[in-house]
Amino acid sequence: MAFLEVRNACYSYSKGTPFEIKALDNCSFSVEKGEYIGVIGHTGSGKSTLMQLLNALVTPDSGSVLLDGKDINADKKTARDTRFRVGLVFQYPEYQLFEETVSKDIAFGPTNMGLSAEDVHKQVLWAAQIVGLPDALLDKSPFDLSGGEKRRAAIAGVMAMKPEVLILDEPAAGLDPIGRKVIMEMIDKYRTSTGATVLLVSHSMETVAAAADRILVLNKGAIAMDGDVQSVFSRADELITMGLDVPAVTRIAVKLKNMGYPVDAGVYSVEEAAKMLTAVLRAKEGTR
Amino acid sequence: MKEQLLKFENVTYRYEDESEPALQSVSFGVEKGEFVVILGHNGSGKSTVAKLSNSIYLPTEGKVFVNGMDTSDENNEINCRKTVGVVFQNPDNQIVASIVEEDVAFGPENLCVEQKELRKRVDEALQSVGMYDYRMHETHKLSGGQKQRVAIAGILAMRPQCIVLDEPTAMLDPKGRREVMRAVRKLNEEEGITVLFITHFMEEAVFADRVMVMDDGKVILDGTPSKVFAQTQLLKKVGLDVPEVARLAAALRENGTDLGDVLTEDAFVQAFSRKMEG
Amino acid sequence: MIRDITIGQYFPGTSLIHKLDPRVKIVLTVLNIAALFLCRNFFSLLLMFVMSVVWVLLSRIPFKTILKGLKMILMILIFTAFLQIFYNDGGTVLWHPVENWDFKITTEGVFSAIFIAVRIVSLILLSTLLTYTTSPTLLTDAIERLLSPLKVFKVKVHSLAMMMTIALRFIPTLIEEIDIIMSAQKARGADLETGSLIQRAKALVPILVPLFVNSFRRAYELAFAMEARCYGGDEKRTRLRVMKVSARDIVMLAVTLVCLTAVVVTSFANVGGFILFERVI
Repeated sequence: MAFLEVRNACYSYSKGTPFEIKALDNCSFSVEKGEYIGVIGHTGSGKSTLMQLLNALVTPDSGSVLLDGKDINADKKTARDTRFRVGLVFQYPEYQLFEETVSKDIAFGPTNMGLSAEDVHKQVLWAAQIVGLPDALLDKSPFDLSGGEKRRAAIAGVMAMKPEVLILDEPAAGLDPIGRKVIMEMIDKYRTSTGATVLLVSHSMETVAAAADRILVLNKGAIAMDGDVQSVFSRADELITMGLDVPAVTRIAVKLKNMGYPVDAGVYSVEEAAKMLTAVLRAKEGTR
Repeated sequence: MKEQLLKFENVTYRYEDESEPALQSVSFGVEKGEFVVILGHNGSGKSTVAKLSNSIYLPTEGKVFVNGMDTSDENNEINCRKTVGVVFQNPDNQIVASIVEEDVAFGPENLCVEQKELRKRVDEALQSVGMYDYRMHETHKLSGGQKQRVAIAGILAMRPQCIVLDEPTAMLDPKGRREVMRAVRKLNEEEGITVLFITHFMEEAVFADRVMVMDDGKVILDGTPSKVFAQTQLLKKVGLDVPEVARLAAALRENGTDLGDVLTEDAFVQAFSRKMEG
Repeated sequence: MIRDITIGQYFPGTSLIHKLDPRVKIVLTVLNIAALFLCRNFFSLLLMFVMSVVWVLLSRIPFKTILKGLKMILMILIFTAFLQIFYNDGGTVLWHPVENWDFKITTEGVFSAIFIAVRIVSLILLSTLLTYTTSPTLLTDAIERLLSPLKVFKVKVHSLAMMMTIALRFIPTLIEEIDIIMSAQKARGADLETGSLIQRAKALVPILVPLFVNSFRRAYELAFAMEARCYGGDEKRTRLRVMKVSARDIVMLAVTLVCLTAVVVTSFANVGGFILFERVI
């Protein structure tokens, strides 16, 4: 039995009106404990809907979502409990901060779980430490923090519930290279200290390839690819046709391959590409 | 030397409740027709430059000149804003009207452009950014990249000589980012509009004539893209990166193959195939 | 779902109704609505109903869309019709279940229920058609021009109109934002559906606070963007769309006036009226 499983899920917005939009079309996949999965797809590919499906914010029109073998939409209570087990960080989460102090805001989730005041406090401090927010900031108003700190506080608000599955929708959007790196490190820290499953939703193949072990590619509401990073990148030309943003080195490799050079078009890191291209050049020199 | 359209002279800017100035004695000029990119991490002061360049902010110390006009002189305000248009980061928060063409018309309407000319300007601006077919669409239903192109058209319709774009791609998906980049490059190359493009995406800087790097409210590097991106260590130190293609070329150089100054994918592919054939 | 709201939406088009001068359109809508309230018998009401349907047909807005807008008020419609049935006891008694009770259904009750229902439907048709066929900017521009005589009394008509334009522009954006904030807080276990009235009101805080904070941020950024585009609050700004009363406006105005006269005459002279509803008015 899989830990988290989606079975033949379909979902449409504005159902039964002329504006009906099919967001998910017969999606099936399963996720095991501790996996790090990258979910990619362009805007409108159904990524956001899929994420909300996994924590019962969206109920499938047909098909089902199972957590530990149980349907998460069985009843209202199960749906709500699922939200504490499957934590979802929305895009630009800092725009949802509302409390007087940072610590109170982080405590919102754990308090809703019905934990004791003591446990809530413990989890808040723990989450703040994972995201690297210094104690001095916890009593400040969240609206007085810098942009990057706000983002971290908001993510801590979900991490404080210690979900077994953590889903992050484009957590580094709008951040500069350092900010992006910090976020990725936070996610790693959360994974290693809880053993949680992580789903990282992103437009950027580069970010996903560097972090995840497995990639789900969404296209037009359906799962177009599902496999480890290597196998997904071996179909780089298809990814480009889907309009996805593959790393520049991959695009270069695909172009060189199309020109007839014996290169591996599935490379995605600069180091790997450099090694591969050097080998290709050496081999050519050898024949001369 | 060519004529300087935008000129910062020892500009210091301090936000009201901050002790540290956001800009510290910054000086630079942008020549007519140039495509200049300003790179810097969040909080490096690069966005303050945008608001200073058309007298939305006035320098605490020093002077900003637009076409020789001092921005701190109140009489120049409208002329400065007509000459230098600014496009902001969040596409949702700079669109005023519900219908595309009505939004594009907002600027020239404020300049009291008469109706016939107004119509012409709106249509031409929308054509320039490839949004003419969407002129009657509702603005809130557009994608991020489309909204941002409408915002650019809204500035174009005021017929500025220079456009300053303050992180216009930060909130967009890769497709939107490409759309905006393509539109901006076209304006610079085909219509000769001077561009000052502020961003933290390194790849967007490779097409520029000139790149300036900001850190801590100061300009720390200023030169051609290949010259700036050769400074790998310094860029790393200020929290920036080198574009992937440049990193790949550098890695190959270490392995003993020098492809020369390559920053774009096409240049790399060409240089590589030359090595293979030659 | 909250995103399905269509009130105040605009459906771009090129129909006769779309092309009417927005000022004329507003005046006609106001006149039509006034006439609707003057109807005193079925004949005049029928005339007004036919006129509303003709307007809908002329606008070429799909019937499906119109019906969707009407669906929103279905409950109100049933409720008011229901009340009418019970508050009227004139005419022939149709049903009187308990002898000593005051409760009975009479012909007059049924008629007035139908009368009220038709009147409300026509009212909704006419008023939604105005926003469906006029872009928000044009609508506020037209209101600005129509209200411009008020400037004599130092009313800031231009600022009011600008505020309306911006408000209309941001309604969809804010609806979308509320949707996201609600989902995000629900993901943190916010419970918006159960509990006492006070608990539910409290549960709104995590939604309203971010909504207000974000709106202020938006307003601040929008102000910069408007300044950068040379907005100075000046009434002398030119407009992309010039409003000109054309032949079609005159014709529509004339046709409407003829219809309205017919309504008034039939109402008060009770021409062709087989039942007179003095009380309904």
